[in-house]
Amino acid sequence: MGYTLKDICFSYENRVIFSGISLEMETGGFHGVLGPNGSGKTTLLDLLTGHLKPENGNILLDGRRLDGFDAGELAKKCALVPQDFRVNFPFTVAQVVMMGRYPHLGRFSAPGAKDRELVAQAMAATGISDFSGRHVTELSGGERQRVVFARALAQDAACLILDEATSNLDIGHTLALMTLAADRVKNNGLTVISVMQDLNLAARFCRSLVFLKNGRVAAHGPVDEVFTASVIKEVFDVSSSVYFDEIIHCKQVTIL
Amino acid sequence: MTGIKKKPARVAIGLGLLLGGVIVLSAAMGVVRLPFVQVPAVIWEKLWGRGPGDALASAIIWDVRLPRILTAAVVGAGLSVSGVVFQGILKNPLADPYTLGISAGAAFGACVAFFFNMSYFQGLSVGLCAFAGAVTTLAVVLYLSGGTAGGYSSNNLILSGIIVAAILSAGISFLKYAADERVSVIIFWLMGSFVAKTWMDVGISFAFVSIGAVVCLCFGRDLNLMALGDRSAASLGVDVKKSRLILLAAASLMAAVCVSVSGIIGFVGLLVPHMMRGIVGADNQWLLPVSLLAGAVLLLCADTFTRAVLPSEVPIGVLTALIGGPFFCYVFKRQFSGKQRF
Repeated sequence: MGYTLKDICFSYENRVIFSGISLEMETGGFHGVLGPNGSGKTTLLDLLTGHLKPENGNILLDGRRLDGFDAGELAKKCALVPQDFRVNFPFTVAQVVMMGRYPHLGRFSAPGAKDRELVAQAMAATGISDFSGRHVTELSGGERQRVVFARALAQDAACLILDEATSNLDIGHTLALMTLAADRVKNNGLTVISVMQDLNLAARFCRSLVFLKNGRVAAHGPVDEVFTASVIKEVFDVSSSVYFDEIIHCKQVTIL
Repeated sequence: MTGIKKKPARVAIGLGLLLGGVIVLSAAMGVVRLPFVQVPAVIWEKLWGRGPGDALASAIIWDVRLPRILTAAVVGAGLSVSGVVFQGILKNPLADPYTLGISAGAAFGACVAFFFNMSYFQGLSVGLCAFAGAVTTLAVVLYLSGGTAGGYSSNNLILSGIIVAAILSAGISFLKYAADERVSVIIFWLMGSFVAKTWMDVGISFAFVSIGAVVCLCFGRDLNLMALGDRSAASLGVDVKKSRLILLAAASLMAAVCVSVSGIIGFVGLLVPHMMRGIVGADNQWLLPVSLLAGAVLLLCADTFTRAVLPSEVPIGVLTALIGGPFFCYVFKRQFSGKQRF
């Protein structure tokens, strides 16, 4: 179950991104997607959310073809925290987080008690309750990213897709949000698929890793198996030393 | 969190009452001053098909003033709703109903009608040509912006609009140059006016604007989500391309009808959404209905001002720009200084 990709081909205009990749990401896992710039990480997420359609091949979500879902149905199953998020209009933070509930509401029905509660919980979990009345146009990049994260949590989907969701955050908030996501994977059976730049962060929180390079899967498997100096050398072309950190009990890497 | 903002509902009710009041007041104002109570009396008579108590007052109010007043209100409402939608779709607070070249297309159509001295369909030919011009322009802009990568993205739409509008305004200049003595008619039409509007104008504009407004109101939430960017909107269940096309068509048709009926009236579609966003916030579910009412009130007030207060009538398009421009500068400076820097 979870996501299954079979022979996916995709290209922009005349630039080929994927020519036949296959991948399986099971439900209830914390999956990291790693790779150098331009390796197709964001494109992969766009395919998973249905924002882009593959030219060839099938994407299955819980055994069902992705193009068989309508947009509203998919929005209840899968939430996205995008990489860049900019709004030109002065919505309040609470309004933006409430937008995560829209897929669950009828076109005209007002949000109910459950919706308001989920929004309040999401804001509390991401530490943005204090400025719920402020305009998103006035927030810093990091604050805005937490608002988007809260919106995705409020969406209450079984699958959370993160596109460098912590790139603008300080280390404290980064750890807090990743821990939050990891806890929900463990306790609530949430599936997280996260594109990341920070290898150590990925090794620490993810259970399995997908390494992409030039639109193909360079390595895929549990962290213990694929998080090695040779894979990192192959994918990023840097020398490194991978070791087991006794304090946080996971593999870490030092780039040499 | 409790009661996020009940203020918008109160604002909407207040504006609705204000609109009713302004309609009655302005119907009594004019060269012939009539007592205010006579306005509801005449409307009552007409609606129930009774004979007129005062034939002259009845003719002035029912046949002359009300059509003009209602057309102004409907056009104001249509341009404002259209402005909200365009700003939302293009994710650009500087957009207005004319950004995609609708006004240039309508103006070109009208110029063609004037140039060839068309007089078919009992004087409707100018309006029809203007409408045809606006719709054709929209079709061309959509065609240009749809085929390339990221179909109907805001950049594509704005660029296509600018290109088409530039070509059309060159065409308008040429027609003006070639029109000789008829150039004054063209120029006067371009400045916009509600003079001599009939119940037919009211009916046509009302039909289109109400349909367009209902469509836009149904898509209020989608418009909110589209403000977050295409990716986010899609992940929240919006079929971005389809919704954008429906909203564009609805908003453009409203703008096209408004321009065809009244000529080019600027600033209403830009100013009203900004003012209302300052009052009720950015949530389009409230912004749309509130802007609709505020636009009606504002344009009606402006038209009454030029019709009944000024010693001689100034074209409404000139007036809205003269008042709206400086006011917009003020709103812009107050709302955006220091807040929206990126």
